[in-house]
Amino acid sequence: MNNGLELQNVSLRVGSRQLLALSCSVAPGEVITVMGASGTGKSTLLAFIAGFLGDAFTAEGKVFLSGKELNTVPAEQRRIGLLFQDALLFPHLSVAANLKFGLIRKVGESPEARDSLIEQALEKIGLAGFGDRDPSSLSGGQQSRVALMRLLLSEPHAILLDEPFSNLDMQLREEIRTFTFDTLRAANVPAFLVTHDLADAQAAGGRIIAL
Amino acid sequence: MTWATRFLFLLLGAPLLVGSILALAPAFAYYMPDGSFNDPLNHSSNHPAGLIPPAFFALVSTPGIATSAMTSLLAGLLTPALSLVSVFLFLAATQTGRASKLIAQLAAPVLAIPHAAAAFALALLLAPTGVASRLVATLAGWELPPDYLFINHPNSVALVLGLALKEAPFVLLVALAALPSTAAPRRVALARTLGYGPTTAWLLTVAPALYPLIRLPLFAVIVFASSTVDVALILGPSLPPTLSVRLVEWFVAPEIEQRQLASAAALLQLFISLSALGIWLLFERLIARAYATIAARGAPREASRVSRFEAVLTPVGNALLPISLVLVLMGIAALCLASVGGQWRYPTILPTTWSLQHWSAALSSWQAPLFNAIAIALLSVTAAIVLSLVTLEAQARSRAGTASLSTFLYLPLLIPQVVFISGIAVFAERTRLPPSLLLVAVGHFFFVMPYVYLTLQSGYARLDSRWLLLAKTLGASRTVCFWRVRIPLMSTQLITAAMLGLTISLSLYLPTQILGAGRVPTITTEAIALVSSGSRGTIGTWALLQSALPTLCFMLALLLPRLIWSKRKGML
Repeated sequence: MNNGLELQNVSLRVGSRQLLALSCSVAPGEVITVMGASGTGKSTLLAFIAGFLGDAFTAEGKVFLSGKELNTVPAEQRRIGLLFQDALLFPHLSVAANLKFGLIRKVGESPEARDSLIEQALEKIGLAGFGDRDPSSLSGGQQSRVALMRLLLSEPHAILLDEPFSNLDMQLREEIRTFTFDTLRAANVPAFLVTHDLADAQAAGGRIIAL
Repeated sequence: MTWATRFLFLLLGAPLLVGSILALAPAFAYYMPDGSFNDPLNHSSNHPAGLIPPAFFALVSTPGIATSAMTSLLAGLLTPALSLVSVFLFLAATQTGRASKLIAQLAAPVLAIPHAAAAFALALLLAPTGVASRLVATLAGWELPPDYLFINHPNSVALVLGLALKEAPFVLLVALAALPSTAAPRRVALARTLGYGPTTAWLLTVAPALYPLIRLPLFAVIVFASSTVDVALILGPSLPPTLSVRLVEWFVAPEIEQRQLASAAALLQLFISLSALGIWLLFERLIARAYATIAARGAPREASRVSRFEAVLTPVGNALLPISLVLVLMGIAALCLASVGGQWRYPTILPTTWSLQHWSAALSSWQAPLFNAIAIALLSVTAAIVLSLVTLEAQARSRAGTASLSTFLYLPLLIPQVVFISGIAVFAERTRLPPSLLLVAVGHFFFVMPYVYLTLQSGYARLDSRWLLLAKTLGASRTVCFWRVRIPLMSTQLITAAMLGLTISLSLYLPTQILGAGRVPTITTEAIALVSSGSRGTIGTWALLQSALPTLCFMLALLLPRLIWSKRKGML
């Protein structure tokens, strides 16, 4: 029953300076790309949607997810996932523990069932048997895939991507980009991509909003 | 400001204020004409008969009090000056290259050695029959030890040297921690293209940027050096001793007049320590002006002028700090030799016979002091860590400012220990708190807290905020964020803070002695009690015992993270 992410008359300001004003809705399975040079408030927009806008900013407008207003909901309860520029796998946890971190707890679910869920997830991203590994022993591409899978296992109702490919080298970027968008479409959640790379926007295949 | 920050202000501020007042107040006591005694702490209805309280007359007429005060003042100025000069010249000469990394690695464990143990080490090394004299004697063919007084000499050279040997590594590590934010290599490179030699370039361009960053720790060194008791007991002059040593003697004496004298001395001690700070600030001004003059002279153009200044400063800078570290290491070697030495005729370098009698004697009486020391350290450090984390977590959640608190936390280090601690002891007496292990741990807490808090604060500041954002988007509550993200990611700083706190607590002498009223012996108080009575062998053994636990803590601070995270390379 995911009817997507909707931004209603969102406007962000720093002091008296207007950063951006935006209204749009993103359907499940769609990836909308917001493009703009640095300083146009792209990352601020994501922080606003995810629920950790800094004190320096003032925001107006409303965010709806599946028809529910999010403005007063704390970040950890919004069910909005965020993909950063870096994979950010928790260095103190194993690969499997990283995946488990966001796994939704289900009543009556046995630890074995959770373990097998993680094993299946690892298989899906081509890393079967990597569960006990130290995340720092993984290659950059492998780390990116684990990060995406960790995000999906937390069953987000919307996903925000903050220039997720900009720290990858050219060759890897292509591969991870395709993998990410294929996975996102399959997951059928609304996604919001922020980037300054036109190739990202084209690969996303959705509408493009230029700031 | 969050409630936790307010609470911490109160928790540290109130005892500091009350302690200082109680330490100083008895000095203002009067005897009434009828012979009764007007104690300003008990009632204030009776007005004093004279303008100047009798305790001050007593203090002023105490023989040698001016000498005692001057010794404390000089130690308070010369120690930080010597430490700062040796560290800055060293950093300038080595340009923080490979040599400085090596020396920093050597300096760090020296930091863990208690002041008292280092003082004993220096004493056994440089006394007329010490190891250094024996080395020279062997080379020069001396038969008898030279006739000189080093330890307890009225000129206090031994005291200042002993203090500087311990404080220079501290200043070095503080400076190295602050150095990256000065962009030193770029400054030096720029100055060199303008014609300055590398050492001169560092002193002219990096030093002025670095100094403000290490000012507060230096102030703590000034106050500590001007009011130290344990090092002064071991190395300081004895006729008369430093002001702080005499203060403690009067404070622990049973007569009420002596108590009042101690109080007046505490006021004088506070004045001396503040004067040392004031004079230091004055020198800061003068040196800043000198810097402006030198800078205004412009860059040297002829090669000869560049090299003359450089040629003097570079070798001095290279040598000064390493020599001081070598002295400490040789002193420790002297402690080791003394602790296992039997007969040791002058001028042989090694003992003629070896013996374990000092160790077996020490082993029979070390359990209680060891247990006390560990219990006090664990109590005070646990309290400091919990309070720091609560405060920092509350600040992080409310995004409130922290700057004022970290300066405030230096306060226990900027008030002479003798003053503050004797006041706390008076407070305990008046509220009928018996001297106990717990009371000693409370006293230790005030000196452990600043270091624990500042270490953890830098951990909080350094943690990439994206980790917590990420955890939240994955649905983690604040509690989960704290326990499963913040704490493990900060584990290295937590271990460092804990070990630093333990090291400090294990080495503290004065709070243990005064608040425990001699009834809570620790390894440190036992070692220092030997100063007048102990033989060379006993002193060597106890000084090593006293260093053992802090050194262990230091090694654990390095090893524990590697052990815990041996399978998580990203954590190291």
